[in-house]
Amino acid sequence: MSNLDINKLDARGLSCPEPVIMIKKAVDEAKTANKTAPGNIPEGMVFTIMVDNKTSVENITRFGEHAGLTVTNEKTGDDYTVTLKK
Amino acid sequence: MKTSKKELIIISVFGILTGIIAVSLVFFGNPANMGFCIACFIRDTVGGLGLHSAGVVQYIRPEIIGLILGSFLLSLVRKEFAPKGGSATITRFILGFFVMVGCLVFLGCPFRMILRLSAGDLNALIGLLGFSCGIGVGVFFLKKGFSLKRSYRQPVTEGVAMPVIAIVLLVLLVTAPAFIIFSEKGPGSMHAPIILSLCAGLLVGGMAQYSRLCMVGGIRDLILFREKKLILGFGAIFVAALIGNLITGKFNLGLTNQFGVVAHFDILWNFLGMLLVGYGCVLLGGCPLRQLILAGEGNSDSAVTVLGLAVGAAFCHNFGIAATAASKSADGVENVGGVSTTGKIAVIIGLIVVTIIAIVNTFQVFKRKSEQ
Repeated sequence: MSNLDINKLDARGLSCPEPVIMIKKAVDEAKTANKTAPGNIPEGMVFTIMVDNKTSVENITRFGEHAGLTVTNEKTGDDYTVTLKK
Repeated sequence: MKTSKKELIIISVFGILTGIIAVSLVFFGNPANMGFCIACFIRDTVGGLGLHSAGVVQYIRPEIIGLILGSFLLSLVRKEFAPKGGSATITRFILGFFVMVGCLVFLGCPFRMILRLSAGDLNALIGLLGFSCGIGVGVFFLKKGFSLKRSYRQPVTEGVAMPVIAIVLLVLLVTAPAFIIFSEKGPGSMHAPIILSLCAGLLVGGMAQYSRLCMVGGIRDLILFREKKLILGFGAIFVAALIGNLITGKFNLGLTNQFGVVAHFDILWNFLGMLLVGYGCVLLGGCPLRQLILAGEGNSDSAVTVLGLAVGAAFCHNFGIAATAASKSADGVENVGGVSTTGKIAVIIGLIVVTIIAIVNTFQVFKRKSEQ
């Protein structure tokens, strides 16, 4: 398992709070890279992160909503895919 | 982070109930300010099994059994039981070992620190400062990329091992075969009735599983994400226990007047002991309570951490590492207690070892060839 790219992360098997730190880093990098509105997450941007426990889903959801993102999650087998959209 | 009102209400109610249960356990026989102390109770249980020979702290604590089984049962009901493990097993064992050293030098785990504070013991405030500093240092490494790497799915036998051990302990407690030792004096001899302690453990274990209550997580998340959910649980336990202690007449404000309540007044070592606990627990991803709860949910990494705590407890009492509590004899002679030279050396070694673990796992000092 490895991180796929900045917006598509794999945090399966990682324990709290590592998955939230990963998504926070990705969001911060997207803000920095935004040339049109520096400091903001680009409109339409989508982040996805895979986790394997409900605690991480809850923590990422709380983080995403606080950052102004729309958060949804989908369970596939033992894993969850959390999608955060601007 | 944005926490819903419902989540805030749930964690507050659970915190209040936990605080009330903790004070009630003391009322019904547990040692002072020890409604719950994960470190002390693991230490007592290890002593009950004869793994250390400190005669005053030997008893198989039903609260520990209840916490594991409460978490196990609720995780089954909520379909959250998931056998997982294989993430830095020996490192977790070592961290658990030194977290116990810190706890027994301070004389309590983070949970008991809050309970001691709620009874007016200002030595616990020193401990809280050290604990927060330790968490701060751990968070620094987390931000730099510290990771104990991934865990993986395990067979069910791995996941149920700790709940089965808890059931075996319960059988040993109830049947009390000759090789099990129960203290006849001292804190180990003081306990609420078995059924009450067991039910308290089951209830708190269930609530902690549901709410993810964690003493380390509260301060860590506040520093990392300005997230207040877990620290609210912390606060609710404190307020409920404070009111409970005031009602039951157990509140005694002060620093050097805490005789007979399993505490000592050595400011530096109370601070450093809890610094070691906060530091180690952040790297582990949770406090000793959280490790028990996760072990009940099938996490064998946490189960190994609990074993590290248990072996640490045995070492602490077999080698004079644990602090001595301040006491007053019947004729008024005061013994202020404190930390032995061995205990001080153990804390310093612990801080060095935890720092090495933090550095190695943050900066990937020993990267595998395939990862380079």
